[in-house]
Amino acid sequence: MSGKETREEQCVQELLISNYKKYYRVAYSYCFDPNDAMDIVQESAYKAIKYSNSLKQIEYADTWICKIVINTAIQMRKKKKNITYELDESISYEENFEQVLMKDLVSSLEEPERSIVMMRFFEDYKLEDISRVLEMNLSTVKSKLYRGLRKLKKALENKEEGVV
Amino acid sequence: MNNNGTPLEEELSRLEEHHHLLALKKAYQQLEIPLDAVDKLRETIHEVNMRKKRKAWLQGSLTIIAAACLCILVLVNSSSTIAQAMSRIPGLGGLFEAVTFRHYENVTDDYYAKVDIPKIVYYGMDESETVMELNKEITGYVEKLISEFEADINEYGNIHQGMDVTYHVILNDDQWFSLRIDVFETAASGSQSTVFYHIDKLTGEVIQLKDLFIESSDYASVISEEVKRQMKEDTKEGTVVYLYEDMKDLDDFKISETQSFYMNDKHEIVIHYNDYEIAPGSEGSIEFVIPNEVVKDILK
Repeated sequence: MSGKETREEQCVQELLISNYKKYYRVAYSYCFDPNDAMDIVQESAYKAIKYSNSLKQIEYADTWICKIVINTAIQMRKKKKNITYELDESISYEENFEQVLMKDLVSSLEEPERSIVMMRFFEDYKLEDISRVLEMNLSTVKSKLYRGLRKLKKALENKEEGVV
Repeated sequence: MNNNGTPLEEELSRLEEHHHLLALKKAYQQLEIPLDAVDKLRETIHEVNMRKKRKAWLQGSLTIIAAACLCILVLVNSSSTIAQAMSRIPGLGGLFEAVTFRHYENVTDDYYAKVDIPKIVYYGMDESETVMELNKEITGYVEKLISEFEADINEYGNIHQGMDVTYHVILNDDQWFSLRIDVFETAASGSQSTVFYHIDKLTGEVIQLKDLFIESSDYASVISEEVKRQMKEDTKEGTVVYLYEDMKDLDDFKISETQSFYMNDKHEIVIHYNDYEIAPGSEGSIEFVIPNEVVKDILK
């Protein structure tokens, strides 16, 4: 019986266990539901291990898994298109992370800006790794990151000033 | 980011240090993770490993059944080595998905268009030429539809016109990845056209109908005969009206080299015709399921 795991499988499994919080946060920032986020992480784990032979360079494994998580999250969102979120305007943004993130990220950022901002700004992945894994030019990644962050900043400033 | 970077890099550094964004990042990092998350994850990982082991064992055991029992150990080891070596070849198996590359929308009281342009994503680290070329073709095809639509609007203005372009991954197993793109247009009457793209995960290449059959076989005739047979039956029973008024015209009927097709979940070949191709628009698109019985001798 083949019990030997490939190097890639082992690496992916180890990363999944050591970085699961990161993957959960990313998933959550797309679906805003703990159960859905868990489903996304588990489905992504399944895919990542099953297709770990696609991983040629282990250095990018973490970023590669993150990409799977994001794409899985996006697919789940498409399936659940009809959910609307109730926004509670009376709470100041420092206290209510979910609502701020929801309104500002969800409404103002499109893909691939959103993925890039998630991976780079919120989870500190290296730009080079992101550009490899998303198959984009490094300069494209940088400019989209810039645009995305600027939009976010603007939206947050507007919210603070009470502008809708 | 170092301070001697380009203006963009400097701007980026400044942005990333901005207090609003940092507050958001801090709140994000304090997101609560469910306590059982890691346990559930371990379970999933265990489950995947069990499946992989079962599969490897199965691949080994099939060889055992065919060979003498004395060779059991040797055979199991060699098939797993082969399986491992094969898994390193790019394009073999592998994770494919379709995502929305671009969403185009143009909606007014007089016309509307909602278009999703798909992009096939291949998770291998090596670039797949095939996937890149295919994505270029898909984007080109859909963007042409969009520009034609816009040209029509500019020229005819208030004509009630609509266009819906959607895509679905209809097959995604160990061997095949199939993407279906549906274009639904309403001008005077509705018309729908569909295109299919198939990728063979084992070779990484696009699959055409002829690729499914032994080279020397005349698959086109075999399939055409089956399609003709079904058309004659439909016409006799009056269930479908075809454009062939006289069944004699059917004699010349033959599927083309670029015939549109897909595999259903029973792994049967389905021949697909768009509106108007072989039947009046009122019939909509027409499909013929080719029973495996008919083609089993010429399938590769």
